[in-house]
Amino acid sequence: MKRSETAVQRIRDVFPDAVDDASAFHGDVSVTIRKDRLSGVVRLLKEEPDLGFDYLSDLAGVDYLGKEPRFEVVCHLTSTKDGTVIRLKIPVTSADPTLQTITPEYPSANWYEREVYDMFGITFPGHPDMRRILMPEGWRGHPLRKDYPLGGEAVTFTSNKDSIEEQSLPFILEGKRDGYLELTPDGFTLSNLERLGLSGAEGRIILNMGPQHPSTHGLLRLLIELNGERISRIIPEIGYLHTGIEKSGEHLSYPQALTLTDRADYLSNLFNNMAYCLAVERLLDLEIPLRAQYIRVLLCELNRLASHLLATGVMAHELGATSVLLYCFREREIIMDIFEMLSGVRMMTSYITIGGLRDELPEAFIGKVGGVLKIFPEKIDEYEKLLTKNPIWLKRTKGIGYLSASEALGLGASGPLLRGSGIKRDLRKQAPYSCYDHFDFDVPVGENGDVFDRYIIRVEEMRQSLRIIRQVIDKLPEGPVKADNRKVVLPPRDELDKGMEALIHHFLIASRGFPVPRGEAYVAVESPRGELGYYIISDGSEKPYRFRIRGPSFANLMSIPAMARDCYIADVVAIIGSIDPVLGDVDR
Amino acid sequence: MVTLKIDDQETTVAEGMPIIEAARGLGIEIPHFCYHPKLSVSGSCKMCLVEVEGLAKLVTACTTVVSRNMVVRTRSEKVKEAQRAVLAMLLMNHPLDCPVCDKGGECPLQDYTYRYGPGKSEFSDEKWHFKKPVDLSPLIVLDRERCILCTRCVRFQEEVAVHPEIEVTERGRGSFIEVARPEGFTSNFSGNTIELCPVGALTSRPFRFKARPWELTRSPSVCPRCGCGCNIWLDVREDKIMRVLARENSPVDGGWLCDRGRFGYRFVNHASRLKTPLIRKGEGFIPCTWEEAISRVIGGFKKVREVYGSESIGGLASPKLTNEELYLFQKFFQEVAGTNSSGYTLNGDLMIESLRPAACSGLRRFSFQDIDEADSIFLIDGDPSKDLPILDLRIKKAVKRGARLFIAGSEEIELSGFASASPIPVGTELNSVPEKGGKGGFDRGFSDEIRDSKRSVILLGCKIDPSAVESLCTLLKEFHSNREEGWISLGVLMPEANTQGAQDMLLKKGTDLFSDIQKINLSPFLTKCLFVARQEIPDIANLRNHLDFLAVYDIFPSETTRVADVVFPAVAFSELDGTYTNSERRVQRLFKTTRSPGDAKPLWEVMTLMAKATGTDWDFHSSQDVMREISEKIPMYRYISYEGIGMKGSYADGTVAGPRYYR
Repeated sequence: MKRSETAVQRIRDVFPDAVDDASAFHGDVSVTIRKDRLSGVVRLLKEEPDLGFDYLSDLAGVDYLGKEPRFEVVCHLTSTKDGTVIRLKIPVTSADPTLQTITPEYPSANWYEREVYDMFGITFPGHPDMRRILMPEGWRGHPLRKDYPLGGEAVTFTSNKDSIEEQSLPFILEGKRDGYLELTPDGFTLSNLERLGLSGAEGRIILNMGPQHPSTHGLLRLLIELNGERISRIIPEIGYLHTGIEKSGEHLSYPQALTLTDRADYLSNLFNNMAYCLAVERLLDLEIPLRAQYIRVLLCELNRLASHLLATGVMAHELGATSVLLYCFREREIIMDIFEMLSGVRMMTSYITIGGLRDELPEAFIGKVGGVLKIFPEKIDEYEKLLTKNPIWLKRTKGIGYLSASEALGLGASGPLLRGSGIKRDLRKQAPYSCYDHFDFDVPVGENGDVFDRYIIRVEEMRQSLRIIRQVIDKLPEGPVKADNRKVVLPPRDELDKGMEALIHHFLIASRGFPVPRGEAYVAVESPRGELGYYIISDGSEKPYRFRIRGPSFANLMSIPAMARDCYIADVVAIIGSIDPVLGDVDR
Repeated sequence: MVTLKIDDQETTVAEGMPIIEAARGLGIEIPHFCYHPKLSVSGSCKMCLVEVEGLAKLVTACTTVVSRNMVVRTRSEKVKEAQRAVLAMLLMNHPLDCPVCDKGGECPLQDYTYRYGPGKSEFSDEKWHFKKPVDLSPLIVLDRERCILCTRCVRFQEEVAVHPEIEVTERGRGSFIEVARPEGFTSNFSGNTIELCPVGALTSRPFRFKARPWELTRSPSVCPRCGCGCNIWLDVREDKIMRVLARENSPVDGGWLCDRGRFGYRFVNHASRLKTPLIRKGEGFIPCTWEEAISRVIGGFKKVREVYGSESIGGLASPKLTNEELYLFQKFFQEVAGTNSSGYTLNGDLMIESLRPAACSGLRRFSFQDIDEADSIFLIDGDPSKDLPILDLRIKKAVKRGARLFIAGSEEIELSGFASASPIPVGTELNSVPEKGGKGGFDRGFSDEIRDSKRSVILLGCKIDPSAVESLCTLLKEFHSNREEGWISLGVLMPEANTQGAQDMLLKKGTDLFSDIQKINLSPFLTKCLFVARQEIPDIANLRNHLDFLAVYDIFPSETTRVADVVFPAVAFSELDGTYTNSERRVQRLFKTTRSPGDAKPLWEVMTLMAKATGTDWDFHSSQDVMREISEKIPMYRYISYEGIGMKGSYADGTVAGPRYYR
């Protein structure tokens, strides 16, 4: 934490007029910067040797409608050396909704700034590709603004299709089918492609992969320009799974918003719960009992196992080794069954709640997990036996999709993608949360930054997860699984029959929610895909004011063009498989 | 004025104000149950305990009056402990009913328990039980176990409604609320106890189990039931009005609502409402489009006019319609149909007189709040308890304050019990002396009383003979000009929501309001073709025989619609934008909140379509457009605009009268 305080001092020294405000809240350090000083400050933070904030964790917008300046762009910069985070807040007025782009310093700001433009209408002059990213091109309005209605678009049903007037819809796609292909009387023509750098020159083919494609891991669209068989340019297009989770979160109470989090990165449900709960608990200053923290670790590591099993199996299947898929899913089913036994739900358990866990573990739980610990090691060995030394596998993965360390860092990669390129960054080690520092485990790091390394890292992480789970079970203390605060945590169910206070509190917490003190918090966890962070701003009411999800796959996808230089289409499949993206946290 | 400090904030307030009100002015909430600004102070619930520097014990903020340099703390440790304890004790006997209690979600007991109360229960004994629920009346359900004995309901009935029909009975832990008389809890204001009750003890039977508060969207409106024009909230879920609540606009309604307005909304969603235009086919009707129906009506009108002339076309509108609807109604009949035979009905009487105390120019502009300030009130041939119930509350409050009430009328009315003298029969000379045997002691005539009081309010019932009004007004003007200080204010008790508006809208072109009396001549020999809007005509079967054509615009099928040639479906009060003018000539807005079932249209739109069908193009696309023309064409409404009216209504001269007191 000292690094961030030093940073504030340095900024003040070098740019005395840049800092409007600086504060610390529960360990978070925030600095409000004047917007015309942003580039200078950012360069200072990145390049000064003893500051070294070399990684852009998140860049998001906030709309403070009713206040001037109306907007704020919030940047979270991290130092990968020790995990220190500093928050830069840059006010932007509605009269002049522009801000200097920081893509020269942090290339990963590319998509983040596009999203801020899309959602808030703030433009970044100098940005290489200033266009919408999640909403379709031609959409009118900026959805995350506070004066943009939730559900403002009427949904057409048979019963109301005659009474909905087209003009009442807040958007009209301006005559185009999509941004790039226009339907003309002769068929399709291409437009806008030059702007994207797809040259359409002689001998080039422009190939569209997705959004509906079995190997893109979801609704991901890739515009690929082929020079013969080799890829000369590849542009990912996202937004096909955008469902407005962040905006919905602003209209739900905190416990209700928890159920949205499972569905963001829908293969790392408990990690989402964890990051969100940690952020809200920081705002509430809530102490979580030790038993609850240990069980949270256990559940997350089980979730990591399930996610990596899926990642490995699916990647293998996409490269032709379907048996591995079936084997991995067979083992994954055991974990799904455990979650079902725990909560009744296989995936969207929302089991990590604000204040602890949803409930105490069932009696048979530890036994079942013990069963996992017994079976899995040899299963993981089995997968390795099928793949790791397999010449076809090696041919498909070794040397493919190379991503250098500096590129990975600059493009905002995290998780196995970043570690594959040799950067030893794992939030469980760098910024431990929920008692991860009570357990021994290693973090595998690759050397070659190729598809193979990322695969091996995941396999090894599975083994480390088992190691952590074993320690949790051995060390699991007795105690409550929920914080002792009746104003936030639901009372035990048996009290609802007997205690009037319990009934009243249950009624109000479940229906209205609970007010959270004013403040903001950014908490990130190490999910199977990388840094998964939640930035929650509270205005003192029962609903979050800003419900920002920093999804690891969003940044990870930005590395695709770098990795897919000059390779075959088949390699694109391998590359995407090695990123293991989940479009839920990309698009939200 | 007194200056004091509450929670380190300084404030200066009027003398005599209790701490709880001074805190409210600063935005500081002090939780309370039994206290209510419009009722007498009880000081029994002890929820509002605060700490006053210098006093050893905590005091109740509702009973303690502010004093100079007082220092009050509402969030000290002692106060918090007391709040926790008071709530814990209230919850001890409170039944675990939240899941089935209608109050849940808008319950002060729940909210205070969350904010100020304990999180865990320490009570493990048996709670006190009552038989429940109990029907206090067909409208009010009582749950005695939930009652915390704040006595707001009893105090309201006793002090405000002056219908002491419920009481607390038994003692101590076993106390409960009970109906106090064999006739039952029949007060016309019983519904207010539901809003006053801070827990789910008194609840509305029509609303029971229907909806949770968070499902409801709240919209403002005005009650359509009488000429008071009380402001209401409509709680709507998915296009259905689930309940009606009082929307306090103290100058008009004092914050209360009578049971007619509160429970009289269910007709809006009734299944038998007319949904489509109908044209006659043989003995029955077939549904048709608006174009077909309107062309049928215009055709019928034209045929009658050819044969009998313009004057044979007549129109009859109900004072339930909004100003905009009434204005276009008369505009159509006067300008397009070219007839003078259009008018509005008054309680079914077809003979309409322009009942405007024309000579009230020169007197003080009447407003309901005049009753609050008057020292004498003269009620002539009217019955507020029946016709304008909320005014009845105002009069009772005035009498309690010391105003004198004089009644002229033939029948015993409820307010007779509050009068200072026996009522004089209608028709008696105004300067005759009332009987001595009555309340006793008055040896002066009615008119003497008026002359000699300082601030007098004269209230006229609407059926009064116009010539009597003439002579009264002359007299009043004389008194008023002779009065050195004080005033005379003259008001008419308009029975329907928009009788006053109907009067104001249905003017002949170019006529000044104050001089002309309109008559519509529904003599069966003259009128051959009739358009009836929202009104049932008595003995319609007979009248129908003399008519060649009858068109009806209404909400429900009735005897009148049964014999019509064309029937139009009408909108109800919550389904259109518009304005009502109440008995004090305050223009208030209605807002379109729910959708009409089917294809109903507001009358102003129907009239526009009808005009268009005759070739006259009017440029009205909204009721606001109509109001713009009203403010241009009708001098009395020249300052009226929707923006100016806002949520509180405004008088015809454009001013908005706010409350004159903080209560």
